[in-house]
Amino acid sequence: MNFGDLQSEVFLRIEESESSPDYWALSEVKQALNEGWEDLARRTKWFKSSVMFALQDEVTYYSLLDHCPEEPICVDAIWDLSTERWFNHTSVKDLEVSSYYRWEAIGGSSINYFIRGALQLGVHPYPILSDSAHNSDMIKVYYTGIPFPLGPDDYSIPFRELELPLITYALYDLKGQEGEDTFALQLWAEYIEEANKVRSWVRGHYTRGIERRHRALDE
Amino acid sequence: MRSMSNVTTEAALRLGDSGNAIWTLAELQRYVKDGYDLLCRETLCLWSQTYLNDRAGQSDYVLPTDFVASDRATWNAKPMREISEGRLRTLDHQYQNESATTGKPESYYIDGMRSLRKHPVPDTTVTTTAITFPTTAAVLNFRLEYFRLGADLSSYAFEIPSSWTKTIRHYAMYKAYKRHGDGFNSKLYKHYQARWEFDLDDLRKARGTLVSSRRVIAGRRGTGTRGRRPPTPRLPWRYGRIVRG
Repeated sequence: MNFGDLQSEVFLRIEESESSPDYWALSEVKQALNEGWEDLARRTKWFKSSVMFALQDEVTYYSLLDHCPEEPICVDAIWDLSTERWFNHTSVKDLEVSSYYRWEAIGGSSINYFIRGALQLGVHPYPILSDSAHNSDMIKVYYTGIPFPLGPDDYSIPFRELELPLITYALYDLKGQEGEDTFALQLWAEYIEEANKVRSWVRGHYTRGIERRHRALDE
Repeated sequence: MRSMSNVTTEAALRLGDSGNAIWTLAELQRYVKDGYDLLCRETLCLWSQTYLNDRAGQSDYVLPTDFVASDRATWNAKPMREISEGRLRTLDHQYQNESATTGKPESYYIDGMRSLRKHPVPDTTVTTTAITFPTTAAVLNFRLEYFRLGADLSSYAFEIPSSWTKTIRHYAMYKAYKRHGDGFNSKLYKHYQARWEFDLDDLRKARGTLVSSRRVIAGRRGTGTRGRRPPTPRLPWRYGRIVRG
């Protein structure tokens, strides 16, 4: 199914003509589907992406919002292209305990990453690009995020499992706006049930896959 | 980045009150602002740092107005201990006497809602304004790293990802439906309350995953960052016993 098919399906279920709708405009149906698209990604964490960017000389912190094209939910892993190694995920407390207590003052080839707040990525030691064995200053950040909104009608939904929850969410959203509260809440219960199924399905596929990949690369 | 007007418009549309006949725009804006503040407080998503410039002989310092909670503090990039008032009283019974214990600050505590007390009381005055990284150059000053509220929505956009603003919209709708009078709807306010709480919990969990370390540290079970006791020493299993050859 593609985005256009989803729209047709929603129009059918709200008993509207797709070509000349009476009550709901096409843009409203698209928006409702995109709301579901976003909610489903947050609930199920199905969308994984990666971005490459260059570490800057003597810069410890990088904004995830500025560097990740899609909205990040959490960072899964970071690959250093120059040293061809995974960064270690650490925390400030661990750095203080297990590293030199003035860890911020240490520069070199970065090997650790940590997050401050929810959106600031820190690297340790802070990169000194001139004096290390770097031949590149690029890192690749793997992250779980929210995909871009559905745009073109011919965009294919990547998994069949996502289609039904998307339609149900759009119906819930539209019926809620229409004031049919009882029906909307009934649709919401259905949506949650479907989204939970997708979440279990995603956990069974993706998460294990990534951990396995890390283990294989570590070995 | 989305703005206050985006969220209030969406909320009004979904409340079926685009003309603001039941819920005024000011009321919806208040709910959105409350939701934003609450989200920042609960998830500690926004992080910032500032210098609280040392002043000779001054122990109390005013915290930034957007302060939510302290993350950590450093002096010359050395972490400082966050200490309770009771503990400080035990260590130094003259801690409130500003002329008694002076020197380089080593610990601090948050005194009330908007004040921070350094201990010992700084003996020199320093003025540093800009945060510079890396901190190789010794900055002999008190740097506070803290979680903060978002900037004022009447002048700035949301500083959080746009999908998170949907969570704030749910909060605004929950509050709007819960308000007694026209528009009160017990079923819907409970529904949006549940959505708000679920989203908040989800964001908290995502942040927890991000911040805590996965690394295993020797002497600790599991991968948490909280300290645990190392295992109790035991004698070898054959110690002091005759073993048949």
